[in-house]
Amino acid sequence: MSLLTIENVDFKYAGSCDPSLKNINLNLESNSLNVVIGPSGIGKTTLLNLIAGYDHPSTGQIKMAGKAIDQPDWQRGMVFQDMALFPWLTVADNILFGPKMRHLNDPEIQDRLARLLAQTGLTDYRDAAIYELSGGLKQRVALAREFINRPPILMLDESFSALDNATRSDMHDILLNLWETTQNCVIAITHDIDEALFLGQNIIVINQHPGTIVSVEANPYFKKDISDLSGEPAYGAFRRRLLGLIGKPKNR
Amino acid sequence: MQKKRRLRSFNISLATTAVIIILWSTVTSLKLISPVLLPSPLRVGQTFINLCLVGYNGTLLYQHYLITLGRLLVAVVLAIVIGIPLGLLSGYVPTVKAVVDPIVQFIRPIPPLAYYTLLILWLGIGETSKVTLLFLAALPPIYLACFDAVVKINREYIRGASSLGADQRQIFFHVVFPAALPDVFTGVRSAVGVAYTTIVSAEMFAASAGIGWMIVDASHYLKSDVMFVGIIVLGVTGVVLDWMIKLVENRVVHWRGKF
Repeated sequence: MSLLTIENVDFKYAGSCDPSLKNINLNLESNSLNVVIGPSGIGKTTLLNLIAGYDHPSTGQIKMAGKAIDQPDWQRGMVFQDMALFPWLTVADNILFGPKMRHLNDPEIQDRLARLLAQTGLTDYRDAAIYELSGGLKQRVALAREFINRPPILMLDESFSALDNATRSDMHDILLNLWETTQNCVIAITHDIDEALFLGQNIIVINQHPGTIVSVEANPYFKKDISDLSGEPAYGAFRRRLLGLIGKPKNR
Repeated sequence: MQKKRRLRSFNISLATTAVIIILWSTVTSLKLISPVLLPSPLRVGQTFINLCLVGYNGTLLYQHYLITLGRLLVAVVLAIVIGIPLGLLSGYVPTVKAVVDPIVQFIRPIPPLAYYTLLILWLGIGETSKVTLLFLAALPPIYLACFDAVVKINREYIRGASSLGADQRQIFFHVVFPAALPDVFTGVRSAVGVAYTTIVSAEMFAASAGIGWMIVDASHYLKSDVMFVGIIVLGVTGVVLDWMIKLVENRVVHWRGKF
């Protein structure tokens, strides 16, 4: 059984005539890294909001491990583009927010915190205020805050889009490193085709209007360095094919 | 750099105060305005010392001061204790808003003096009516600041917290409350200001002590020097109170303006 099952989901915002998403069907397994790409405003974030439980499908259903999703909970973590870190808490307290809310205070959590701080290069910033950190460091805190909870599904809503190239590349490595240790199901939204090719085992393309999944591509170039591939005809063809699928939304 | 700028700003404020006092001295020493209307700074200083040592109407200045400050503090503390949870809950729970909001919105625009006589009839001429008047004046600014703070909270704070495992109660105490704190302090500062401006009204009727009463009583006998002392004491206290709240705010809401 798939970890996440989306069946015939349509979604329409209250007061809107047209649906934002139509006929979404998707199965995702644990220990998979999935990237969602598509044009702006096509409904990628809406899809994550439905999976998180912030919104509910107009028709169809979304199930996690066979159970219908009806509200947000720790089993589906979310990293937002603006991170939504709590500025009144220190780095460590931000990361420990989830375990504290779940009343997990055992030594294992402190071990996880120490490991995550080391893995994300935040050990020296443990007691720093959030507003003292750069954008890249804040994004590391946002990732660590989710990974300490070990959610079976982790969603990233264009989390790295505001970062410069070098910092983004660091974040890719950190994400892959954390994912390999937790083996959860990651669903990341991006606009960047190269980011999708590097990070996505599966690339889910959303297009058309209303938004629907036009293709789910197994990515043979997952974790491969683009600079080594740029001359390879098969890579170029695959990249062009994805770009073609993203295209421009029709009938808008 | 910031310290230097702050020092410069302080020096400018000091110089402005000095210029006002010099102008005041010049006008009074040249007798351009009658001393009954505008006593000299020296005269006001002498009256201040006299009020400290001899008192006004048998009550020393510090006693008048403590009575006024006591009324103000009790009213503001009550407004804080009741207004903050009420405002935050109104912003967070629609049912609470439906019950509380119309009442506060009704009280808010009414000048306190309009219902003061009613309060005296209902609650008597003692401290209760005065404190209630100040409380009713201080409550709306705190309530509204807290309500608005919750309404404008970054929605992703709440969504993020729920995806980290927080329930509604935990979100209220661990996310909504701290996120609203900067605006809560703004509300408290406004409330102290409004209560402060109402203090003279509160002590205008059925009082025999307090700085506000002293000012009103002195006005009946054209004792402008006493009125000036009262006004200066109120003004300085207002500035000090605001500075103290800002000091606490800077320590508690250390992230304000930095995120």
